[in-house]
Amino acid sequence: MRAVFPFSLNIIVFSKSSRSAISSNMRLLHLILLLLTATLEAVTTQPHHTTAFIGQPGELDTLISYSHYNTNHFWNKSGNLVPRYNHFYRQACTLYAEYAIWCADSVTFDGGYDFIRERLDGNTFGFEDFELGWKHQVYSTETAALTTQLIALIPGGKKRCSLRYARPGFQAGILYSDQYSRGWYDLGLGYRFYQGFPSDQIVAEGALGYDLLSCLQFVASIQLEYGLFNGQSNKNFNNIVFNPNYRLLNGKLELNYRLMKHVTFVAGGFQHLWGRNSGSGGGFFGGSWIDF
Amino acid sequence: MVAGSIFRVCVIFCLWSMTAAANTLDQAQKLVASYLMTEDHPIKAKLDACFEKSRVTFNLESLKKAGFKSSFPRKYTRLIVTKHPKFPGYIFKLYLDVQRYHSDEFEFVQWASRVEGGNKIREYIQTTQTADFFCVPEAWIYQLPKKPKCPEGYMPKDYILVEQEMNLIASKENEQLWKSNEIGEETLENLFFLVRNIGLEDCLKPDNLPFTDEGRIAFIDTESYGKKVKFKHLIPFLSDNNQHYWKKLIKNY
Repeated sequence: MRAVFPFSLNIIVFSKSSRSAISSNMRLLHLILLLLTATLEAVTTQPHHTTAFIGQPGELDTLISYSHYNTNHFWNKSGNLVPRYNHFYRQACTLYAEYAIWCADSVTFDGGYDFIRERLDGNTFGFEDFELGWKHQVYSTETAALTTQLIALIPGGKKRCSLRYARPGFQAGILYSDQYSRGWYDLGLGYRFYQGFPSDQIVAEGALGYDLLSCLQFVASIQLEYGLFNGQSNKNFNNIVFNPNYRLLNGKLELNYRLMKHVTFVAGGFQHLWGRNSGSGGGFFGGSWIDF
Repeated sequence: MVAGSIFRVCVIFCLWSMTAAANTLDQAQKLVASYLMTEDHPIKAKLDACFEKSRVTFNLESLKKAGFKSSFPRKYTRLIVTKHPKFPGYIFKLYLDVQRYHSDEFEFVQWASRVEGGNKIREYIQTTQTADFFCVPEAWIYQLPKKPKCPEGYMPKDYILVEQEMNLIASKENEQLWKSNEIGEETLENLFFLVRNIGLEDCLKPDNLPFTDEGRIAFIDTESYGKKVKFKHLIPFLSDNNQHYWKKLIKNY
């Protein structure tokens, strides 16, 4: 039932415009906008995609978002969709940030704070596990890029049911992005290793962006988390929601509206399309990209 | 050299953690075995008949369908406390198969603690001859029949707790009684020694110490024993005079 969407977003395409010298006043304005957006949106699941493009050296891209997810069904181990009889709701506030160190390298941060309500099991809230990543572009042309990515999975605290596994791990993957006449696409493939549980996963993602207007973009994406079922289920026996051995295919549609040069609003919906030992259902999200 | 030492410390810590966890579970399983409802218990056969018909503990609907009174999980423990008209004089405490294992523990660990805690209180009451002041309900762990099984993908519970029903006064009335001067110093003194000696960590609030209609204090939350008691929790629920006396009793704690 994890609704993780570590996809890419065309923000990098937006932000490919050269990093003009931003005056301190502009920085302040952006900071205010960032905080304002965070406050207004208060809370959407990580609506970002991982792109192979790297920003200009010194460029910082941030996405603050709120997502809402709910379900009352799940796919069991055999893949049958069954009722849960214990409605699950999650609201997540997430921050994704990517900082370009050099023209071919960037570091990423991904973290969130969740509010979870289960009808019969009560409320749970707290930090999700964090992700710290490093992207290295190995090949690029005017319009395309091939990038390797390493992500460290860092526990956000003690294990808490429905919230976080609290297990360290890492992910290694490769990303490819390309632009075409009116849009772009991102492809990603990786292997996620966890210590003990959940099981290791093959993660794959794909996103297709299309420019409807110069300031409006439509994005369709899917993401697969294919658990290899080697997780130590006895160490995490206690969850329908966070089963240590799960598989999940997500689909997502979104609109990106560029309000000004450095600010883009994002809104969309997502739906869990297929799974094993994971929740079905879906939700919506909203957020804004701001680059500095 | 240093790395080797760190590695050894880590290995020892991991082995210790695993052993400690296994011991706790083993102990709980042994305790459960000794507190299981016996075949000759007056309601055992009737309970078997009731629970063999359907998976009663699957969800709220199945519980209701089996004749149990509608109930919703308690705020903190998420425990369902219910009654059944065919089993007068008993209450049932349980978790449903569609619920998570509370606090990441199998439900029987909690049942074993509750029965064990109740036994300790009962022994203390007998030894100190304070049965005029206090009482504690009898409790038994009932093992659910192996069939019908819980459907795949949920979190099956194997045991429920059956307790003797106490004739408790209404919650509001109980709070008023605790706030009144009807509770004498002798009661408070006996309560202090009982709670201190058993180490009933979190029982000092009217909800966990309801009065019965005979005027005795019933211990209905017996799970946490052998711990440091939060004596001050009772203060706001007492009358001014009793607050003063309670503070005097607990001044060294």
